[in-house]
Amino acid sequence: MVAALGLTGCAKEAGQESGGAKPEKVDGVSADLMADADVTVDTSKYKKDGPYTIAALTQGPFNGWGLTWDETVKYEASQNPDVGELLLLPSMGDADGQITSMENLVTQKPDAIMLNPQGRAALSASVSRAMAAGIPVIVCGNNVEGKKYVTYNDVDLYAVGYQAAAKLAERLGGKGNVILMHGIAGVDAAEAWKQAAEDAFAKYPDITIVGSEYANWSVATGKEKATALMAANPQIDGIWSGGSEMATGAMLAFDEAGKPQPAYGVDNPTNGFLRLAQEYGVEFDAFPDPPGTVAKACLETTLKVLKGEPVKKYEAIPAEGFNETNLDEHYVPELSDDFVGPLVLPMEAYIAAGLKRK
Amino acid sequence: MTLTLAERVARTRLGPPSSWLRRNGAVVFVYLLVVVLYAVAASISPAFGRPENLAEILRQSIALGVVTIGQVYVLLGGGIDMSVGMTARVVGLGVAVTMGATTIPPILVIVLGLAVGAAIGLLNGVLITRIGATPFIVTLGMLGVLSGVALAITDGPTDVVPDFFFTMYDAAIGPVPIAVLVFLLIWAAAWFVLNRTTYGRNVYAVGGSADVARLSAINVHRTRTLTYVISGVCAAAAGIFLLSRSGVGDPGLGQGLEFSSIVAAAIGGISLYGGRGSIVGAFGAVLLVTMSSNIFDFLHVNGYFQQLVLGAIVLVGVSVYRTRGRQ
Repeated sequence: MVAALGLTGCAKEAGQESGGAKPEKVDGVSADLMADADVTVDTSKYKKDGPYTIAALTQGPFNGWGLTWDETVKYEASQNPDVGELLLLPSMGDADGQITSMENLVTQKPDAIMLNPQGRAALSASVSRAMAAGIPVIVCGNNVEGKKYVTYNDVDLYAVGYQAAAKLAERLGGKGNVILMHGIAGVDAAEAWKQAAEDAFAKYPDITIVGSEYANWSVATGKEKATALMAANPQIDGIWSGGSEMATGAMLAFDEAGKPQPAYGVDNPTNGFLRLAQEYGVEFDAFPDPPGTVAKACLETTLKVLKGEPVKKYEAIPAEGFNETNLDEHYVPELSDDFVGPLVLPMEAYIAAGLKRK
Repeated sequence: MTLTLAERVARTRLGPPSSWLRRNGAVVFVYLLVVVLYAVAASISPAFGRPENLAEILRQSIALGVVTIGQVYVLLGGGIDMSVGMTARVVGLGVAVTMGATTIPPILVIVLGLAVGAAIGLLNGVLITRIGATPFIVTLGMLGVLSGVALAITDGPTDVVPDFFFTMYDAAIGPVPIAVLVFLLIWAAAWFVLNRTTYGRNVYAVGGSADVARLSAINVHRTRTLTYVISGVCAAAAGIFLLSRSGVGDPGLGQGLEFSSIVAAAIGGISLYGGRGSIVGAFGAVLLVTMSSNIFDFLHVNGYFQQLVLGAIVLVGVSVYRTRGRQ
């Protein structure tokens, strides 16, 4: 709008107020998060006696990632005597609806809010307002701007995307044609992973990015885009996918076309991706964004905060990569393609949640 | 029974009660639902009926409410505006980026944002009236264009906006947010224009029958174009308000407002074919939609059921109106 209105004469000088500056990335990790991992937060002012009423604002069970998250929180809360009541509020991916829920919670005053934000920017002020109302907010599974929360629990999303790309580049010997497939344009995780992949491939001058497409974390759209990119580029050596749904679609496209499968680098491998990778004998490197692990850690951290125990500003969840050589350790044949590992609950809990393979 | 002259005049203007009810069935239906929902929710959750929660419901209804005003004008004029959500997004992001990159006073940036909204509405209106293109297709195309513009402005969160914007959202007189008072004034103004001015009557006339309106010397093109300008300005205002709510320009801002505003208008009894309906009913529908979302959160009902119940309200409402229409 600035350019369109011809207002460049009023351009702000560098260094002026810019509270939402993009987090710094160094050597494939989020430097600001690494710094926060060393910061201890005093939570004594939130200390109170249990059992607690905890509100969990989640993405919602419209895909395997969200379903696994919700079931983990529900199960862990039901098993923990410190949790008196769990207010589970799935937003179905709607950031605006989640802001509304945050505002409603400020009126309801739970003891703590566990927030899996559906918009890095959109939830920023809501977090500040809840904290100002004296409700501790524990952010998990996606970050929010401004860091006004008590603590953030997650894998380093940027690092996950970066490593998947770097491993793919190494597997290709530092040269070849690759295509990049992204989630939903403008969504935080999609953009963080996209930036990470572009940064990683930029270090390999002999790797050419011959296509870069958004495919909405959809197997069908991933297949469609891969088919089109295959037609335009006869030689594709590698596919990087920010979210394994698109890579799953690409595997199907290559199989249908009767072409040899390229190597893959993916984030957040679903059970479906692993099943097909095994079936087609695909070479890949995968780095997890594990919903069950993060959700469980998030609840544990929330209880620590309410007990007044110190926590880190950033509680890092390890995200160890794996590949086709140890695929069997991660693929769970009993569960459906939607499941996102690793297993953190008893198998019966997942089956009861409708994740049994049919 | 002998009636006085004043009573006779009143009866002539208002008609018998059954006639009044038939004409205002939608409004009665919506407000009845609001009252019933409120009573049920307050009896289940005492916290729901607290004044601060009622003020919160009104504040949460502002973005949808302002967009719905514009959508009501467009629908009454015989059109539809699918671009309102993206207009809100482009203006919200544009204002956020401009605030982050320049030293222009916030108030001027807001005025420029509203002007951009008006320009988008004007373009929609001109394309529809001068070229004769279908409103749905033109505004859907505009939605696509604006979606690309929004991504071109920024594909990630922008800088935090100045405190002035937070004040717009947070400032309150006692328990009542000032934004809510402004919102009620805007609705009152929208009602006044539609019901007490020549332009308002022209909008109804054009939506009812463009040919008859033209024969009555009403400038159909200008009247219709202006409804889109009003809609664009309302959408821009909603985008700026949403920016003050989140404090950061968000690429997901305004998502789904086009459908929500059409749903609110439809529940409120605005005819999707133009020319009929009351903005008072639409206001009730905005309250109904917002309150139901608030209630679901208070009662911890899954998001799926929220969509289901809202869909059911639309179906019941439309069925009731169609039945009454046939009668």
